[in-house]
Amino acid sequence: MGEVTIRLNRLGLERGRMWQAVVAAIAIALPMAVWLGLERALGESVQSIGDGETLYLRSYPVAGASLEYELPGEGWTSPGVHFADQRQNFTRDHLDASVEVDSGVDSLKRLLDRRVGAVVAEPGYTYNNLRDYSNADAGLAGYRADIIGIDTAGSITVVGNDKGAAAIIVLLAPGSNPSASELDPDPFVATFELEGE
Amino acid sequence: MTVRTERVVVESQGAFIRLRRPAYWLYVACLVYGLMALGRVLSPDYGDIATALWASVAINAILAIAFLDILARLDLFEREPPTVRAAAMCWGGLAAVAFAMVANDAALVVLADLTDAQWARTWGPAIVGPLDEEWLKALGVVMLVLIVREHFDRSIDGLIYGALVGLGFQVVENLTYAIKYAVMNPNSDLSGALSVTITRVLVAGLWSHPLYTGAAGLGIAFFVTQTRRRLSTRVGVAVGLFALALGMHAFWNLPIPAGLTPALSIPLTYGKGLVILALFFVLYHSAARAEWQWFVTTMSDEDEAVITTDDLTEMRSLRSRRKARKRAAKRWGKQASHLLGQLQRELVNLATLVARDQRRGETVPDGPDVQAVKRNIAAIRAELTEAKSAAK
Repeated sequence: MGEVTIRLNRLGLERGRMWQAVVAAIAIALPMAVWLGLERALGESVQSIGDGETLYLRSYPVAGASLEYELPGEGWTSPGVHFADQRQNFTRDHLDASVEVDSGVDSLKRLLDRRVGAVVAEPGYTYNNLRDYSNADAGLAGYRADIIGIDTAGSITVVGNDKGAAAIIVLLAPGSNPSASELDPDPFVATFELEGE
Repeated sequence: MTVRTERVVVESQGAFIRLRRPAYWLYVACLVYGLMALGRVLSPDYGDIATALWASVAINAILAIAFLDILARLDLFEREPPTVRAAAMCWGGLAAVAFAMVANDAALVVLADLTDAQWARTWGPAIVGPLDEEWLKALGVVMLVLIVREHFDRSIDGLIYGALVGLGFQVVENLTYAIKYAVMNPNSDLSGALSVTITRVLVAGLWSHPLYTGAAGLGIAFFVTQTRRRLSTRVGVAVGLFALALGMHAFWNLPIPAGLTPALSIPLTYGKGLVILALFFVLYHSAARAEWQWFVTTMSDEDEAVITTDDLTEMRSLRSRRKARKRAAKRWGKQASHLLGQLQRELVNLATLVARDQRRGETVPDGPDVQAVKRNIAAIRAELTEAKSAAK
């Protein structure tokens, strides 16, 4: 059978082939280096939300439900790029808010359980005090639960229109009191116009 | 009746592990990164979505098995070593997907910053997806060339390895979508994962990553193997086929105009897929023609007892082989047809080994593995002659 003599370098690797691996490594890193470099060069994007500005969400992947809403008060910003049609995150001072719309919802209680799962997956987080919730201004009803973290408190509220469309609002703020006024979903839900099924 | 054939495997033949090759260690490092990155994506939700994930794994496994069978058939005159085929799929499924996730996410943010989020969401997949993913998948074929150059004999090898890289990528990409949609679904993990998995398999299963990377791999292997051609021709073909892979991927990712009814959007989607499939088969047929010419040249020195002129003609394509088997079944019965199929497989094995020895410049006529295959061929021919005479 044919035999080949291999010469080794100091690292015990085939001599004369190191440059190939180096070029390949550069080529592999190239797309990440280019895009991450450009992303960093362009800086972090933050969207400012105007006072009383109407915002829109549409359910995904089935575009069966839509939500029009406003954020109470002023000073809200939305960090990062808003890619997802169905959910948007906001911050004001230390308060984080996340609004989402879903379609084809069979059970609001199960939806709350599924969405709170992502929050309480963080170490030290849990939720309790699940109770009925309704908002007369929006004409929507559903469930609310308290979220408790080590140094954070919050609320998650799921409301639906009885036709399958549902909206979710998660509020998180530093502190230990889930009944704090800033964690009250009422000012948010009061502006909700939930359509679809 | 099946003739018991023997197989001699010369030590290290077909092995992928090359501890002395720097590129091998780069390959291993990239796979480790891929495993860690994908583990990070899967682990937080794993406990909740295990059933959904495994259901998606099962469907994608069927897709992968079907594709592996098709690719094995497309490889007319050689069976690539299983370890190298697995390495190709691992690159696509682990390293390329993991790197592409980072690059794609950053690229979409850049596009959104330069234009707006809506524009980036609509056109980003047609721009960013092909650029990042085809580059990273094609580099998988390049890595294989750097590590196991001896398994790239002809252009079609690149097509097969490229398609395997693409298959690995497609399967793992489908799984990442399944996880994402399982979590996103308002009612059930299982329905979220299954709906997206089945949709992706039914809509894009036939004309996805294996075809794009197969085209790019064909170009890379042409560059590497066609050393008698002018450098400019080789570079031109490699660059051209990579551009074709980009074009096919971008074409598939183009958004369907909003507001179209399903009566229009479904034929349009499948029409795009069929165009891509047709382009791939044009490439494959040109590569397969070159394969047969290679087979004839390689086997022309062999004795008539090993391969006849009729065999050479019948071996041209899968269709001609099948026709020959059908003819044999009609004239001499099923047993003869079965033996002919066995003979065709052994001739493929022989061609692979002879080509290897020619490449190595072997001075010894036949190695032990070549001798074993020739013994198999002689035994099958003897049985075939017996079956023919018994049928008369």
